[in-house]
Amino acid sequence: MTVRQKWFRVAVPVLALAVSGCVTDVTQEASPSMLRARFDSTAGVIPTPNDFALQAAMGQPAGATRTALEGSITAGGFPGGGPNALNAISVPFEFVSEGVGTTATVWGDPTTINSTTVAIVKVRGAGAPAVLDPTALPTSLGRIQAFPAAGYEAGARYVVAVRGGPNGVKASDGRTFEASTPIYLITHGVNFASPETRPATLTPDQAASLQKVQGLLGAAVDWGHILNDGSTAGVPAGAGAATCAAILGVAAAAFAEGQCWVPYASAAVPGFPGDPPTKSALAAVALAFPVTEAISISTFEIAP
Amino acid sequence: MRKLVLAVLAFGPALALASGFEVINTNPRDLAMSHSLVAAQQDAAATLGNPAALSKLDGLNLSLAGTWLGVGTQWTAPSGDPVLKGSAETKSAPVYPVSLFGAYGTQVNGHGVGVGVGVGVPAGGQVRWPEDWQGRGRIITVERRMLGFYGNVGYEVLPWLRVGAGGIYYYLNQYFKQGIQNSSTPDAFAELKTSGGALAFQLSAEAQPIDGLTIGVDYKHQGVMKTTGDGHFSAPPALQNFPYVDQGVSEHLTFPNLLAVGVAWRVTKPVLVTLQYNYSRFQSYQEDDFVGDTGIDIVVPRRYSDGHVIRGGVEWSTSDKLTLRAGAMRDMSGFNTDAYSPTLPDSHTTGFSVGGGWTFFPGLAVNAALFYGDRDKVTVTGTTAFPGSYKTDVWIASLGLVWATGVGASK
Repeated sequence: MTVRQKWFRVAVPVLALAVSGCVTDVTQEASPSMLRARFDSTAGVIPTPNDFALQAAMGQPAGATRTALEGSITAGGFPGGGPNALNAISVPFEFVSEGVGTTATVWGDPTTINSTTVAIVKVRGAGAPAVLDPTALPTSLGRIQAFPAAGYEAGARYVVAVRGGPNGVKASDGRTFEASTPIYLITHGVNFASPETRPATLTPDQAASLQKVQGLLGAAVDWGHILNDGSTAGVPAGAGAATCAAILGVAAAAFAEGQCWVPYASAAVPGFPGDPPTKSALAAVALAFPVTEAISISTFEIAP
Repeated sequence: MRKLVLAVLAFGPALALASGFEVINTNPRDLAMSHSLVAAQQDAAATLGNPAALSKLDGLNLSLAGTWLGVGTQWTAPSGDPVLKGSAETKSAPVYPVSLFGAYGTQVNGHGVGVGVGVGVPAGGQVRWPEDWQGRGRIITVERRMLGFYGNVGYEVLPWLRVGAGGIYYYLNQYFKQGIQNSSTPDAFAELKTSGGALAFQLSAEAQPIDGLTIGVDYKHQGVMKTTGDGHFSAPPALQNFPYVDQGVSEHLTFPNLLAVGVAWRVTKPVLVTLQYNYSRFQSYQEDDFVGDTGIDIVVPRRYSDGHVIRGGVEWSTSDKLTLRAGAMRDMSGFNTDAYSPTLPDSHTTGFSVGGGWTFFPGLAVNAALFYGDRDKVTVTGTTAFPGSYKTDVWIASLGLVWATGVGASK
């Protein structure tokens, strides 16, 4: 027997075994470190100003922040005025290391804030819809801040979106920002209604919550306040808390002070006319840049 | 540890032609008679089929075969579903099981004794759905390869009674790919690969109470395979969240106890008829549980009950050269429609087989077989399973040779 014949006799069964037993290989890779915009209403991390911040005001601990938010609810929107802590557009971000979130330790780069990276769209008010130029404000640690260069219009409604990725705002060290998972899924049009079309990692409660947010951002929805003093059309004095609870699907006790900020399309408030904006939030963002590149979206109203 | 019961994250096996993920015996002679030869083993392949028959061998005997095995499944969306529409078919992804056995038989103090070793494919899975199909959130690809390494001894206790026993090493190598969400982000998926093995044992007997009638029984004990490997998540950064990061993964998978009982009746000298019952204790297959070493725990419900198969075959030696074979089977699988998954398009199966052998000269024969498995259409139930119905077809072709080499033979 030649060496080749011997090799053949060994190689054939080995090859056969290999064919029978081999599968696609998988190797672990280090999880990427990244900067990610934050939006976590359960932890009170919400870009401001924002309808969602007002909606969540009653869940805030007593203090200056809650007092200010309650003041905005009563006033019918955020204050206009100058770029102060309340009405500067402020988007928090975090540094994520190897898949585990840690406190941000980097600064944003204000020089990367411009009309192509931060969309400020007036969706209700004079000239709406209109894409406005932003003015960058000095950044604070872990936070991007801007302000509409033309200032706010009283009673107007705005949509603000921050762009991520290579065409978006950047950190002071040049790194790009990524969207948080909820915003990514919402802007990519994921259907949260079915477990077959949403990520398996979402619980039903999470999916339902995201579906609501997606619906609010995807429709031309007005928001408004419901007060307990009888000044809200269709809501008798003393019935504010119950009405808020009915609209938001929570216990009335959460609105003991009898006021809330709610999506205004609800039929639960008879006679409440609403004043729908000219565009949905997602459609407004698309006026400035592809909505799939948005890493943070806020909607808010300026008090009359 | 964070524990998720993910009906929608269904890593798991597929394929098979018996209950669960068990695979039919692909040795050409066995396959041609629908795996009904527990009472009619006659060569080195008895190492797998019934080691007691090894004691009938004389000298060195080889049984070497290769197989082509293809499974195709069509999924159809439930009518009226608000989300799922249309249908999808698995892509062609054949596998090539081997059946390689060598045995040596002799006489010791007037009793036949045989020793056999070899490797076969007792179980496995292969499913490859389109990358963008509607169930990608359940599974895209399954590659489950299982090898069984057998070492057995057969002994002739009495002229009419033989027994066999030995050891088995089951080795599992498996890969799964699953979309992280729907087709709006086709580049988002997760992969797992684990491998490992387990020892088990085998016991068998063959009795010939009257001329022409043989009774065979073979038992293989379960093997609990402890597999370890790697998990990898490929997704846009926005979807990479702890604990869904790359990490080590392990799974303990039980390949169940198997029992085969059958008879072989030589109706006339050239005609052999076989009938066999197989029991697979798949009640041990309640879930696939993949445990990550940094927090993830993926549990896929299976909820199997035991499997039962009735098989039969006919072998007709038309001449010294040509032998023809045929068989049929009905497999009553233990699958559960409430936990059904596109990872494992299992069902009750009706199988038909044909084959033949050509003897070139005494001791050397080539055998071939073709098998078709028609799986019953399954419509899933409950709220856990991926909605829709599944229809699966299985084709198997096998070719091999049996060589009684004469080495060490007494005559």
